[in-house]
Order: sequence, then C-alpha cells, then structure tokens
Amino acid sequence: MSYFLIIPSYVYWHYTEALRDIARVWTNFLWFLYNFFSVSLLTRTLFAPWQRISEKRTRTGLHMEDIAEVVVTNTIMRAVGALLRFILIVVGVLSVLIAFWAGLLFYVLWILLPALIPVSFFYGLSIFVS
Amino acid sequence: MTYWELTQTVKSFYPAIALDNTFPRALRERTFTLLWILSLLSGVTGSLSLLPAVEDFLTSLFIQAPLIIHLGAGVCFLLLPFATLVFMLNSFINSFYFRGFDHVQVLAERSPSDKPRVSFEVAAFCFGADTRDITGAFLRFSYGQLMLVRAGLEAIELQQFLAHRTTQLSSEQFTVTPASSDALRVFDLAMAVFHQDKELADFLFKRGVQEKNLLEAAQWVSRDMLAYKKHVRWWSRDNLGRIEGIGTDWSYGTAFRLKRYAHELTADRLAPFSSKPSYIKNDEGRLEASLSKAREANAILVGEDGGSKMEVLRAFGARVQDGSVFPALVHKKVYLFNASRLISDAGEKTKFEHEFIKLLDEVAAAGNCIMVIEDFPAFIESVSHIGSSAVGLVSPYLDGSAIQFICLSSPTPFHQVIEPDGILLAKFDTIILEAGESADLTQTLQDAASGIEAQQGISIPQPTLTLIGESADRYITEGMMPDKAIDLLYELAAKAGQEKKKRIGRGDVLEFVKAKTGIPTGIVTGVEKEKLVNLETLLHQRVIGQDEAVNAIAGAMRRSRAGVGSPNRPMGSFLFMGPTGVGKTETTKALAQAFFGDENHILRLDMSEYTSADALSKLIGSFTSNAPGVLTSMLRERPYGVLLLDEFEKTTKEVLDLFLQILDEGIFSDMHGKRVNVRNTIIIATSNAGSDIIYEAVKNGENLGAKKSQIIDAVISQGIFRPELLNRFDGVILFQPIDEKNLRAIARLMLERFRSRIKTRGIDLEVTDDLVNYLMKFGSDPKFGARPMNRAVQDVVEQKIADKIIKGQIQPGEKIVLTATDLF
Repeated sequence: MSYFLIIPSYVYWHYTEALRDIARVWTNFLWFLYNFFSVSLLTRTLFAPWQRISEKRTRTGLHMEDIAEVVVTNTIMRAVGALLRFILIVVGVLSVLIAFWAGLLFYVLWILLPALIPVSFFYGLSIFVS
Repeated sequence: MTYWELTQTVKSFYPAIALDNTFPRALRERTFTLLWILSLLSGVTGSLSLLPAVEDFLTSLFIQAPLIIHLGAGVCFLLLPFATLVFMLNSFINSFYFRGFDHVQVLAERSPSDKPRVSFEVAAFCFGADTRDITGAFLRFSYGQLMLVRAGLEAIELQQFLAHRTTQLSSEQFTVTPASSDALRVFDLAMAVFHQDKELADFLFKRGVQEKNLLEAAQWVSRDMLAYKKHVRWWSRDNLGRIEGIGTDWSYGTAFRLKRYAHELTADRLAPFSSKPSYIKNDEGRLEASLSKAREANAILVGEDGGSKMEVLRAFGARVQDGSVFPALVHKKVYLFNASRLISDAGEKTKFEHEFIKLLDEVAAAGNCIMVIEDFPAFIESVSHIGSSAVGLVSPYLDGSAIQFICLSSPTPFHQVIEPDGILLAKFDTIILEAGESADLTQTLQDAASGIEAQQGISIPQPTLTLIGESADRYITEGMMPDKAIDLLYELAAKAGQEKKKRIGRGDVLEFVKAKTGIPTGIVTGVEKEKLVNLETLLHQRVIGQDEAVNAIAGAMRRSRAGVGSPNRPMGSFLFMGPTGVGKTETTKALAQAFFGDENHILRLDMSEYTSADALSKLIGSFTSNAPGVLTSMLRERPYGVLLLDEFEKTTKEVLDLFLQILDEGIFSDMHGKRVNVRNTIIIATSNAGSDIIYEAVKNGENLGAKKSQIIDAVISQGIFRPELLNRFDGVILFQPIDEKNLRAIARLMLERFRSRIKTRGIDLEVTDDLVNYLMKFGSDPKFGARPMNRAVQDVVEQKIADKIIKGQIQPGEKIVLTATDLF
C-alpha cells in the first residue's frame, strides 16, 4: 500500500470519526469526574450527619440538658457533614466544568491542529534564526 | 465471505495498519512520552522570558541565560508539532485498533462507534497476506502462530510443515464466515484455514492436535487479546470506574469491629486474566438481583467447598467496586467476616453476644456493608457450642436493609441445618450454585495458564491443559473441580519453574500425576508393560484353572490402563459366583500381587458383617453420630487398588443399592455429601449364590458356559440379586468346582509355597508324587474345593515338620523327603 494514500485517509478520519472518538473519551472523563467526586451521593446526603455519627438520648423523660446535648451534637455533626460535602461538591462540579470547557477547547484545537503544526514548527525555526 | 470480499471490507483499516507496522505501539508510546517531556522542559525554560525578574536574576548568575531562555522557547515550538503528530498518529491507529470495542465494555459509553464487520487483527492479516498461500500467511502471522503453538505444536514443527508441504491454499479457494454475529475474528480465520487446508488438518492430526484443541486454543488467544485491549484502553468507563471515588464514605458510618474481623472483598483486585466463565456470570447476576431488593435482601450461596462460591463472591465484589451494579448496591462494601476469630477472641457466651451485637449495630449504622459469613451452618454450630444462638442474634437484622448478609454453605449442612428452619430460610434468597461445564473448566484453566505464562514465561499448550483437567478429575480424589485442576496446574508450573523448563507438555503432567497419586498413567513401558502383557500367566501362577475369571480380569486391567475403558466407572467390576474354596478370593489376591505388587493392596470387606439396619451408615458414615464410614475411609486412603466384597449377597438391600450407584458411576457421596471416587479401583464381589446349581451341573458333566444364563436366572428368581445389579457388573464370572487334576496342581502349589516358606529357615522339602497322592486322600472334598487341601497341608505336612524341628530331627540345611510311612 502506498504511504501517500495514508494522508487522505487520515484527513478524512481527522474530521469525521475522530470527532466521535473525542466525544466518547470526553464524556467518559466527565462521567468519571462526576463519579469520582461522588457529586450525586453527596448532594442526596448533604445534610446527613458526618459519617453517620449521632448522639442518642440515654435517659427517658424530660431532661432539658440531655435534649440540648443531643440536639447540639447532632446539629454540629450535620453542619460539619454539610460543609465538607458542599466543599467537595463544589470541587467536583468545578472539575466537571473545567473538563467540559477543556473538552470544547480540545475540539477547537483538534480542528485547527493540521494548521497549527506547521505554524508552530516555522515559528520555532524563526526563533532560532533570529 | 470470499477472500476478495474480505479484502474489500478491510481496506479502510490499511492506512492505520501500515502506520502501526512502521511505527509500532511500544515505540510510539515511548517517543510520545519523550517528546512531551522535552517540550515541557523547553517550554518551561522559554516561558521564563515572561518573568523579567527571574530572567534578570539568572543573568546575574551566568551571562548566557537570556540566550538559553530564548532557545528554550524555540525548541519547545519545534518539538511540539512532532509530539502532536505522534499523538495524532497514535489516536488514528487506536481509532481502528479499538473500533467497535466500546460495544464489549460492561459500562456503556456515549457516542458509540460503528460496529465493524471485521476485527483489526483480521485486517492486519489480510494486509500482509500472500494471496497465493493463505495457510502459509496464517502460520507466519503472529496470532496464527500463537494459536497453533497453544494448540500444542512447537514452532519448529510449523517451520517443517511450511518447508515440506505439497499444496497451497490460494485466496480464490478460501472463504470465511464469522462464528457469531460479532465481527470476523482471527479465531474464524484459524478455523476456516483448518477446514479448508486438508494437508494442514492431517499434519495437525498426526501431531495429536485435533479440531477441538485448535478451537479451544483459538478461543483462548482471542480472549487474551480482548483482555489486553481492555487493559490498554485506560480511558474506558470500565477502567476509569475502578478508581475509587472520594467522599463515598462520608455519608456512611464506619464498622470498626467488622473491619477488625473481616477482609474487604471490594478492595481486592481481580487477577489480570479473569474472564469469568458463563456459569460464574449467571450466579453473580442472581446474587446481584437478590441483594438489590428493598427488604430482606440477603442471600445464601449453596455450593460444594472448593467449588465456585468464592469465585462468584470475588466477581460480585469486583463489580460492586467498579460500580457496574444496580443502583441499590452502588457504594456498598463487601466484607468476608471471619466468625471463628470473633468466637475464639470472645471465648464465652456473654462476651461473644455483647461483641457480636455491637458489631452488628455498627454495621447497621454504617449502612453500606454487605457481610459475608463463610460456612454459615458451622458458624451456627460453633456459636451453639458456647451456649448462644447465632440465628437468634442475627434474626433482628435480617428484615430491614441496614445490613445485608451473604451466607455460604455446602449442600449437605444446608439441607440439614438451615433448610428445616423455615422462618430463617424465608429471609434469604437461596442460590444453588451452578456446576461448571467442561468448556468453563477449559476457560478457567486457560485464564490461570495465561497468568502463569505472563509471570513465569512458561508455555502451557491447550492439550496439556485438557489433560490437567482430565487427570485432576479422574485421579485426584480430594477436593472439587475446578479447584483441584487449578491446584494441579500451579503445582506443575512450580515444578517446571524449579527445573527451568520453558514448556509443560502432556508427559510432564502424566509423570507428575503418577508421582503424586501412585496411579500409573501415560505410556505403558518397561516392567509394567511386561506385567500387563503376561497378566494371565502371572495370575495362573497362583490360580489354577478358572480361565474365564483370569481372562476377564486381565482384559479389564489392560483396557483401563490403555485408557479405552469408560473413565466414569470403576476400572473393572466383577461378580465371582461359585462354591466355596474354588479360588474366588485367591484370584483377587493374585491380581493385587501381580499388578499392584502386594496382595495387601486389597481393600477387603466381609459383607456378612453388614447385615443390620445400620449397615449403610457403617459403610458411608453417619451424620448424626459423626462417625466416618468404613468404605469411605478405606477408599479415601487408598483410591487405587482392588476392593474385595466377600459374601456380597449377605448384605442389606440399601447397601446393594449403594453399589448399584458405585458400579454405574464410579462415585458416591459420604454422610457429609462429599464425593468419594471409586474410578481407580477394581471392584470384585464374591458370592456363593448358585453354587449348588453350579456344583450339580458340573457333577452331571454339563457345560457350565452353556448353563450360565440358567444359573443367573435362578439366582435372580431366588431374590438373591436383582437383575439391574447384576447388569451393572462388567462381568458375572462362574467359578468351576475344582476337579481332581486341578486339585492335584493346587496341592503341589500349596506345598511349593510351604517349601519356600521353610526355606527361609534353612530347611528344604522335596515335593514328591507320593506326598501329593497322600494329600489327595485327605484334602479332597469336591463340595469345599481347595479348602480341605489347605487344611490337609497344615494338619499333615506342616505339623509333621514342626514336630521334627522341635524334636531336633531336622538340622538346618537339610532336605526333607516325606514318605507315606512318615505321614502315618
């Protein structure tokens, strides 16, 4: 097979199948980041106690200090949980957004790559010459 | 599909294949990494020009700094295009290499590729194939070669075939059809070449490679190819999904106590070549469905120890870990609970109950634990020994969904301990594990062999694996398939590693099995060959007459050793019928001595001792008393030898029914439901049934052979044996009453045996006709065969000589001649 035939095949692939391949890999990364930061799980359990740590009343009857202790402890646990989860959700969502925009940028670069390669090469040469 | 159609289909792959051949994957990846590192370093250097303060500082250190920074930028812009080019080419090749691969992933991916009609490897074959010689092209093609080597050929044999063959398969004659609706694979090419090139098929047949071997080897190579591709495609959802996420634990508690007493299965990695045979996948699917229920989502896995229980669990754990399970099971963790450690740590009831309830509470509070209790019936029993009730403690947690349990059990304890407890059973889904078919065993062994090949560099071809499977099943009595086959494979690999061997052949397997079990396997040579060829003569050295019995036994031994007998039945099974003292037991002893080298190689059971109601329990053991069975213990200790069942007709109907199964299948179960293998044993049952009819027939001068069916019918009509039992024996042999000529020979034989015995004390005896004639007077009673003769030798000859020794009338080294006068 003539190696010259590779170039038209490549160019055809570059602007057809490759775009579909990139979309597949890109969505895989978005899916991975979304799952890696457990965005869905953390959102669903945003106000759940931190690591399910909770206080239970040990005495029956109306003992205000017991009730206050339980309410305060459980509120703190939920607040800590919500704060840490919220931070991770934000990091996760930001990562997904960055990956999304990086993907779009990659698409643009990919389309321009055949032109960017000679530009970069000649620019590099010009630096040497100068 | 004709070859021409095939080449039209694969043409679109050619540019990628041409590039792949010129610039192979490993080289591409190394070049890409190098170029990117250099681009990055030069880019970082060049970008310093953007920071004037740093540039000024560096200039103060050495004068050429601005020039280096300037050149750094230039090198970066020069290298970047090359790094990008390599990236683009690699992506181009990968696009074809993995085309359609997203369809075989477990986790579906977006923007799926078109399903190709052929695989990349088939296209690679067509790209380099000489159209005048398809077979030659296939045998030179890397995957083709690998398939044939794994089918059992050596590379040099392939070269010899290519050099000496007389015909060539051209592309005009060649057609190929995909075996399934998937793309055409190298596997299809291999089978098409095999079917269409008769010379190749004949060549392979002569080297012991049959179609089945090639098919299995081709499937094996295809599966390894798939595993490699899965591994390389790191950006697939299957691979990315295995990276454990962060924050998944934040919404669940921590089961500290469970972690102390358990091993987390979801943290394990599956072996690189575990392709999961279909029966494992089915069981794993059933387990997943059971555990995904909203309530009472617990399961009991019932299967033999050493079977597929742990494989199913590991496969399930891996799937929970990569997240490819029903939503209810995502983020769960599977813990294999070591119950015996908790029981021994606690030691007594109160402490155990306190600790166990705390553990269960923690697990329930954690909310994401699936607890696996190995051998659940044994756990119940151990807990009851310290006076507590495991079922009572666990029951409150079984209803909800806070804890999920997977309990494991063997079939017999399951039926005896768990099944009768209807309330407990209702809270579990019972999953009776499927047994693997032979194709599954092949796949399991191939996976293990691929791992060994990758680690130790030892090649293990398919015929060797097949033989390992067969040998483990047939000769290794302890353990379950496929475990014992895998163990055998690893033992062989370890031995080959020590001996620095590069290939494990069939001979190595047979030799190893022979050394391990003592059962002769493989080609018959040397002394063993001599023994087998002359077995009748050897038996006749002890057995006078009884040609039918001797010939039947010798034939059975030869059939079994040559490997033409049924592997799923005992080596041989015979019922010896005839009057007492005619040589039934003696024939059995003669066989043990001639073939197994020792007459004590007989496992002897006097069946008249097994006539009571508990006869069966005595033989196979009793579950209630936990006493082991005589027969099972004997056969487990010595699975290779002769089992002699004296006075077979005297035992109970239940025992006869047990032997009905043993004779038919060569296998039976003991009290615990564990299988006992009788397939390497010769079973000889003796019986006096019909002896009167035999005696009468011979007395009347009738031919015993002609009367055989009449005698057997009489035995059946008397209700001694059922016809189905008699039919299960390989042969029912009638022993002739001993006539005078044979009795004389027996007398001589007994005297010779006695002579050799006293020779060890330095005394010789001359066996004269006079002596034999004298014995014939006393030892001849046709109704009792040779027994009176034995007694006569004892009472007359042995006694006389003993008296003489005591009186000092015989000196060492003396030869005694007993005359008639001596004997009176």
